[in-house]
Amino acid sequence: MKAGQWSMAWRNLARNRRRNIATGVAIGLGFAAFLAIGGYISQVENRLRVYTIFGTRVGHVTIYKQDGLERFSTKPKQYSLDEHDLAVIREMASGMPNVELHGPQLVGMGLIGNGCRSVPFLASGIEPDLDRKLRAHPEMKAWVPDIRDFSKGRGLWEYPESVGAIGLATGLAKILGKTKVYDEFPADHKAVVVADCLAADAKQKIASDSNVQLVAGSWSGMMAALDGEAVVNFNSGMTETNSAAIMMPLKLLQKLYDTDHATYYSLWLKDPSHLDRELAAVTKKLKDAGLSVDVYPWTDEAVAPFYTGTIQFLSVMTSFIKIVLASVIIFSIFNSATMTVIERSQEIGMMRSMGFTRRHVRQLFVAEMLLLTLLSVIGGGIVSFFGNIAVNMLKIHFNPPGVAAGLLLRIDPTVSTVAAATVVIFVLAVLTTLLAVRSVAKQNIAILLMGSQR
Amino acid sequence: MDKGLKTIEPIVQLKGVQKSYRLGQTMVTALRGIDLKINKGEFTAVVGASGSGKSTLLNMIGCIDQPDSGSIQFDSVEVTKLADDDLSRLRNRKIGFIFQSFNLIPVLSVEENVELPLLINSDINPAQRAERVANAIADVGLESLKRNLPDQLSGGQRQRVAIARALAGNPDLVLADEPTANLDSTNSHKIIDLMLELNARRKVTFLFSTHDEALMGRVSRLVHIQDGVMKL
Repeated sequence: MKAGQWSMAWRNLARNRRRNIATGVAIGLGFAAFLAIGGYISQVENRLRVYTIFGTRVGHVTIYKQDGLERFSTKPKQYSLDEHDLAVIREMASGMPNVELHGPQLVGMGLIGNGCRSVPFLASGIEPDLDRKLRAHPEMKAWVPDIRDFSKGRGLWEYPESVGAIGLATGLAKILGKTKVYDEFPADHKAVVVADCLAADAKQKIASDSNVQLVAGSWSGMMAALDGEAVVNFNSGMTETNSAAIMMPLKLLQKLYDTDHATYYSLWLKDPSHLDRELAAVTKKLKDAGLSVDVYPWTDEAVAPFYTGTIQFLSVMTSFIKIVLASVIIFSIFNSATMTVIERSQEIGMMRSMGFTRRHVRQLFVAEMLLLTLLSVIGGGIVSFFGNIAVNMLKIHFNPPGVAAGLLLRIDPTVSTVAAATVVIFVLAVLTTLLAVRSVAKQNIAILLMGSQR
Repeated sequence: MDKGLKTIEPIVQLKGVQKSYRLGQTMVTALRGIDLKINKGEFTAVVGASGSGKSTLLNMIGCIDQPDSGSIQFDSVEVTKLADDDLSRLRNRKIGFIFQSFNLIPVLSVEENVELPLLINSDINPAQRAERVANAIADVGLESLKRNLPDQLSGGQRQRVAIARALAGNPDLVLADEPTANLDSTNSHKIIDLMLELNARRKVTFLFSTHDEALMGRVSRLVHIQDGVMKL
């Protein structure tokens, strides 16, 4: 295409101005809608990704004892990482330059009580310093501040082992009536014994200390119990776990289960863009070290079912919406381009008779549509920019199923979203215009020259 | 080169050209075995009643339609065997077209309309292009209106622009299909005068169709056509 042809294409846009404006509006709004969907999905995807990797502490790479993921709950001692495994993995992780954070975790179940009432708990034991580092990670701050920040209290790392620091999910704290945390009581405050749980002041007495009792079956087959202090309340992120989740120092949970094992060991990478490569390296190193382990990426459905399930669901849903949007854009462009080429068939005939090839004719109409699309994309981009600002300023909260504290609706298209939507719109514009022009460009010139006389 | 010697050479030669086309449910035979030779430098009019096959004949000669049978040679090249892109190139380099309804692009100025066929001619550079456009516009006397849009011109002026556009590529042959049909008699004569002048000055071969009897006496050669057959 030469400059003169672009100039002609530009001026041709002034013809049928109303039709071109209508087509441009359809393209522009379609583009803005693509950005809105992309911006929303990108937010959700990022939130879920960070929630999964950092919030649920799966890590980028998770190492289980061989078959441990499936069998740990039935035979925890056999299918957990022992001291030797943990030492080997820790040494390996410490020597990997791309590993930013790493550590073992133990999960388990049992009953937690307030002196009057016991309910099931799902415990997660983590080294307090690792928990501190994870919560300080910029990704947590950027994408899941509600998970990162405590509802009440301070982190496990702030307390000596002697305190028996335990974190309660907000829902569980409410169920147990432990509405205050350890720091809200004087340092010399003693645990309050509730003699009569049916008494009128029982609730008040329960709430007047932060003491909780954990009971669980130890891995050696005995019943075990320990006292702890609810030092912090946190949001687990999920409705189903927010009324049962507790977190505690790894050592404390190991003490409860009478073990020095861990359920899994997680690695957080500095640069996760080459996850497969890191995964292969970890697998090889551990195999070479003689460990029988399974290594999972965080994207594996087995370790991150919520993430993969939600993203799959959203992908299907948004794909459908995107198809509808693309169809609207395609039909708008096709309709406009078809009407334009029919109206200008005599002109096309004239150009063909002067030596314009079919390719020249197609190029001219494609150039016109590209210019119209460019204007529409700029317009749609401006609409999207201010529209997204308006939506974000409204701070709309919504409650997706399963999400404990609800979510803030934010639409922030990323550069890649904008780039992808722009490419899609331009490709649609070119292909649709080519489709509309193709038959006319191929038509007999003599018939084209007859124009409306046909 | 001596153009005087070249005027006796044929620019176009048709042998046994037949063309039929479908009109609704019926087949119409537009040309029935046309044999015709157009020599370089001639100023020829094709005359005949409406529907006699004049336009179809010009379409064949202008390589914008293909015959069902027969041979068409343009400058000794058999055009019926050329691919579409080659035909486009031939039209762009060797043939100029003037249409009854001018067919100017309304959003382009006079000089941009004239420049149009040159935009796709890769053999000439921008400076040559500008020179050719200026010369063509000067030849039709529209220098003062070169920045005007077509809708700011009269019918006669528009047809002058169309002539300038046809001439800008320095063609060997200019084909004009009823070039005066949309003009009054004064403008018709002016256009024919201009075409005659350009034929004489530029030595360009002109072939045009008309059924205006007043113009027939002004051409060097008349080709009569009736029901798709040439009449002597």
